[in-house]
Amino acid sequence: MADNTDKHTEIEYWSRCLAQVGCTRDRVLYLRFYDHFFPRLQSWLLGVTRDSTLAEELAQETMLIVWRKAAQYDASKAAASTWLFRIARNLYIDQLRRRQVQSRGRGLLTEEHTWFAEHTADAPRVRLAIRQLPQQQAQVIYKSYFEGKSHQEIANDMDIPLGSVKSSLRLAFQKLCTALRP
Amino acid sequence: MSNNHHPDEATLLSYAAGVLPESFDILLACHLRECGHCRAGVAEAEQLGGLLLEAIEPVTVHNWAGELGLLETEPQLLCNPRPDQICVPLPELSDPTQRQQPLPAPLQQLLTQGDTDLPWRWLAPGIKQIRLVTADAGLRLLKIAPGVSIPRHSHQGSELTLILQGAYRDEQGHFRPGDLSDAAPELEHQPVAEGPDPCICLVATDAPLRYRSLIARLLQPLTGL
Ligand SMILES: [Zn+2]
Repeated sequence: MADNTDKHTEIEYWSRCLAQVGCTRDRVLYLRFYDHFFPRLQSWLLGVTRDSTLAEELAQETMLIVWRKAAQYDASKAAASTWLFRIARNLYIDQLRRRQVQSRGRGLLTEEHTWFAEHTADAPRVRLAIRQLPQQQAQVIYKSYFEGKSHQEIANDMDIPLGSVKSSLRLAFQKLCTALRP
Repeated sequence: MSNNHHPDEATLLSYAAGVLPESFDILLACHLRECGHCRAGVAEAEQLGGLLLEAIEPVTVHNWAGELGLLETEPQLLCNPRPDQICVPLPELSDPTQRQQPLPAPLQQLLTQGDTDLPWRWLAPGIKQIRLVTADAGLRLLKIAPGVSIPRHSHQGSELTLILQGAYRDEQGHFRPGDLSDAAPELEHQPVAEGPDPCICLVATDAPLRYRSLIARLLQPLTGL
């Protein structure tokens, strides 16, 4: 495992790598990116879907989209990890609801892309902030991001009131945002 | 347009993580369309998601060594797509780099054409509703006549309300179009439509409301609220 300093540069390294794949279509560089992120995506998707076949399919699909849409990626707007997270999450939600959507014939509301350029995160600082969270706050963050649980499901899991889930998440989010900002 | 009432940060985080019931996602997408403040909050939660993804330990975090152990011994097996895999055509999806929220037809119609020919149904004196089809069946449009109030209630679960037209007030303050009420479970409130026009709002709930008055409770099975 790389130490914290390497980790910090790693986030930026992968962002540069993805931007370059977008410009040059460099297959070797893409495969390096793939090797780094595919197992992470698969692990994350396994947590939220609890289905190893589906997790692998969605991770594959995410990486295919990365290859196809890499030219759209703008390293000055977001880290590669943010971009990847959004794509995987969008695919996961789409997969969850696709069948119902098709049968209903609805309109689509597309997210407007007035996203603000994110600050380059000091990843070790965020990691430190995560480690310093009180146990309950760390648990609600973990259950939200890694187990795909809603507030109510977390309240049931942990046997705490819904209001405590929301306030723990809110406090944790505020602390982690402070660590994200320069 | 700047709004006075916004969702709880916990709600924004769960929206970004993709873990809210569909009804809540739809309602938030409608608020985010107009609220840069909350879009910035979602973007931060997504950045956090990316950092967590980057930091994940593929095998040890989940301890599913049986399935993922392969990655340790044969990483090439799973990690290298063959060139032909790269070219497999995907089913025609919406653009996955952007989050796209499908809207139920009556809501779509309301947002684009306004309140014309919508299939409102009587719910209670001065209150009409349209139940919207979602996976979790927790979304409805309410149209409240001026001066009419929703019976005082508290919540067993979460309740999000987004004002689409008109205005209302409750114990938390005044709500205008674009404002979102993220009712804390302990909140007991009695929203009243304000102003000369009916108040149309989008309401997402994940559990039945708790009405205070006996009559409202007796009516509950009929109204479904
Ligand atoms: Zn807002």
